Amino acid sequence: MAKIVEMQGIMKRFQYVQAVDNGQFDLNEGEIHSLIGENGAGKSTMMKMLYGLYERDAGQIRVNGRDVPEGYNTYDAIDLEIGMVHQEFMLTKEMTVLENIIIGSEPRKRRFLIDRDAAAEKIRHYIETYHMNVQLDKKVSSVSVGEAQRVEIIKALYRGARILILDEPTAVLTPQESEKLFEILSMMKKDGRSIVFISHKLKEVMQISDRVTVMRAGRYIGTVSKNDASIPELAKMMVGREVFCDIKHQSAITSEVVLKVTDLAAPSERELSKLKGISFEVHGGEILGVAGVDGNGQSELASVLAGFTKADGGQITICGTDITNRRPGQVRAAGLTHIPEDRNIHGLNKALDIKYNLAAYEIGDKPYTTGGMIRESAVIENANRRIKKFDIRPANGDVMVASLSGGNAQKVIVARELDLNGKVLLANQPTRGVDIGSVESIRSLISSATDSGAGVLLISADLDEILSLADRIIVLYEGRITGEIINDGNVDEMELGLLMTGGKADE
Amino acid sequence: MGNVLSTVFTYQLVHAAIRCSVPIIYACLACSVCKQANVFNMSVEGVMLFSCFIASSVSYLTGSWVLAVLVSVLFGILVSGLLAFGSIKLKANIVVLAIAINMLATAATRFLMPRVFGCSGSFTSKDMVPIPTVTLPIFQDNPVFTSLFNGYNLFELLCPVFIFVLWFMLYKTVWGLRLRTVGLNEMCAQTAGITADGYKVQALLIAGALGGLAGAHMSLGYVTMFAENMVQGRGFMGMAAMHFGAANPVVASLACLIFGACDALGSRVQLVGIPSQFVLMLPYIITVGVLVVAMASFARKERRIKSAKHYAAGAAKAGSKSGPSAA
Repeated sequence: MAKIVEMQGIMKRFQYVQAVDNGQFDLNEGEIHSLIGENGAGKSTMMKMLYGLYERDAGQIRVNGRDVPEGYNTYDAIDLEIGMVHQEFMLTKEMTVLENIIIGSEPRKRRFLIDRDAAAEKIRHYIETYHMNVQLDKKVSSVSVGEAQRVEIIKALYRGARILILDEPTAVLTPQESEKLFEILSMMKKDGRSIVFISHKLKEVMQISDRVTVMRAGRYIGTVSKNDASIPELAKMMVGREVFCDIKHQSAITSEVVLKVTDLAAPSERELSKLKGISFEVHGGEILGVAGVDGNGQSELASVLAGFTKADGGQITICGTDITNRRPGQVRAAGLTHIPEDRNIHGLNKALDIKYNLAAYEIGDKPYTTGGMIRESAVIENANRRIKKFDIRPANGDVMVASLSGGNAQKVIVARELDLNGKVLLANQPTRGVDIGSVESIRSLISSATDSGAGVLLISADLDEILSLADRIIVLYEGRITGEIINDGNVDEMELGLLMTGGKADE
Repeated sequence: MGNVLSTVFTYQLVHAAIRCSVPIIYACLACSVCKQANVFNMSVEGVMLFSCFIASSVSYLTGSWVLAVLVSVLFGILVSGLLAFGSIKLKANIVVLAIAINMLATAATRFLMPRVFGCSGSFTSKDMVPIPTVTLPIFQDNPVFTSLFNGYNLFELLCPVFIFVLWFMLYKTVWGLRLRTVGLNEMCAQTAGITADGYKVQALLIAGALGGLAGAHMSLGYVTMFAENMVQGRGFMGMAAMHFGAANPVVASLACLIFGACDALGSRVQLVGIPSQFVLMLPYIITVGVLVVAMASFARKERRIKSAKHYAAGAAKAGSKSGPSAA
């Protein structure tokens, strides 16, 4: 088989980190080649260099046997028939699906005008060949995540991509949608297209790839053929040691209801994400998992609970105190602690160091502030205690949070929030973008939060996380709860997947 | 009172309102094309003032209005080009640059005025050749028709053409689709192989040309003179109208008509003896008022779109239906 892509000795440095250090990768014609590694291992960076989005610092990239020159950009990559589906979709949500597909290679009539009919016809060809249903005239803002992903794939094919790079494509899909994506990918492979599949979900990787390349901390670890690989072996290559992510939550559920939500309705920019009257309870010592595909109202739920946005109806109480439409400070005073979805926006002040971020909530109270003046010694003392207790690295309160890895930055938030010993912990996507080592410790910290009788509302798009931590699971779909499952250790993932797409549990 | 109203609101007001709107419309088109490419262009005011001065002096010195318009358009492109070079190539802050251009325009024209025209304050002369006015003989016999349809100069008549052409370019051509994509989601454009910076520069250069045209029209069409600081915020009014119309040239131009009407109204109210200080601030007060009302109604509409209230009301009744249909 001919090698159509060869990358060797690739180096790439960003401001704080060496993202890729002597990276290596090759792709055969007509194969599905998985590129795996933890978050921050350099997988996406490698492929963004192949797609011409980043310039490499050093190294050689050969496509179809020819070196790509310095100053190689996306325009050249499209010329070389390379297409990429990014983790964050590169779609303009105010425009229609059709406009998004053709942008940059529009069919023209009379030189300057867009030939929409020719475009639609050409797109229909791909829709039919690969059974990818999309609605051409809808605005991207009103289609589902799965459909948006199909739009991205068609967009790449439309530009004539023979080499297709998919960056974590299943992260946003239900198990059923993932299956469907794999069928599409197999069909493309049969047509002689070559596919790079970036992932860290080993089960999927084993299911669809021909070969697997592993990266760790920016370095090339090795390439194995699927037939010679096993999941534990790949996991070991990825992490560099044996992994035990099976934290089992030990529950001591009390009869006290710490969080009660009744008929809650909440606003959103997207119709699908509006909360349309949901009710649930969380007991002391219990972890309630909220599962669902991103964008089905999870962010809106967290935002209303934390007091960031106002509810359009319904009631929220914490230990009997009504906190509906109270300000964030009042909600926190009532006993809510919060690990927010996006640590960079709501969780951390990136212009400050670890010690001030660790004291962020209490900074105005004694002993941190006396007589209107901040007492730095108290801040330092607090920071040292929390750094030790929660094992934050580097163990130095003067380090700026902006220079921390995703995992340690997240730990700063977890440390601050858990140490407050609130009555309810709202954990929204607590391990997103965090390396596996930190995932382990953050999950066990969240699990231990219930020891003091607190209730936890765990919102996560990661089913494994929900299944390993939650006592009870509710599923959100289009702003409604489609089902509730007691997590007794043998929950069927397919059943959960059905609920996530709006189906009933008993069908 | 009735007498006052009939003096102010006559058919001649329409003519005056259109004439007052046109400079604002050209400024507004310049702002719109930049906004569509997500370039925050505050320099239209300064570009206009520069062009007012250049157009009036070229016309005064050479006696050719065509040359005057051409030179001021080219100068507008040059100034905007500097802004593009500084903000996009050298990555300087575009707002600071634009403020510098605006301040420079005020100072430079005041400095050059005595050197070119030999006076300061304001200057007009028989040697300053204006942009020609078009008169259609068929309307000449009727005073109402003549007021409504005659007596416009060339660029007032061409204004609707410019509005339409810009709208067409933005919404119907490949170029427009790409420019708007750059404006809405730059990363998306870049991954599609579009050089975003190229489109931003083009937007700025077009804005420069339109700003130059607006200035030339002001000093050789709207009036035939040059006065210190004669643009008087019309560039910023164009920017306000652009926001009002969400950068759609057609809608934004309608907003300019409102501002123009206020302006025209102001100078006519003066005729019936209302204090001139009050009259002079009228257009600005009405502008602010219109913008506040418009923004409030946008905000209300936005809230309505986002709201989930109807679900809250129906929640109790629809409780049994909360599980949607099977997958």
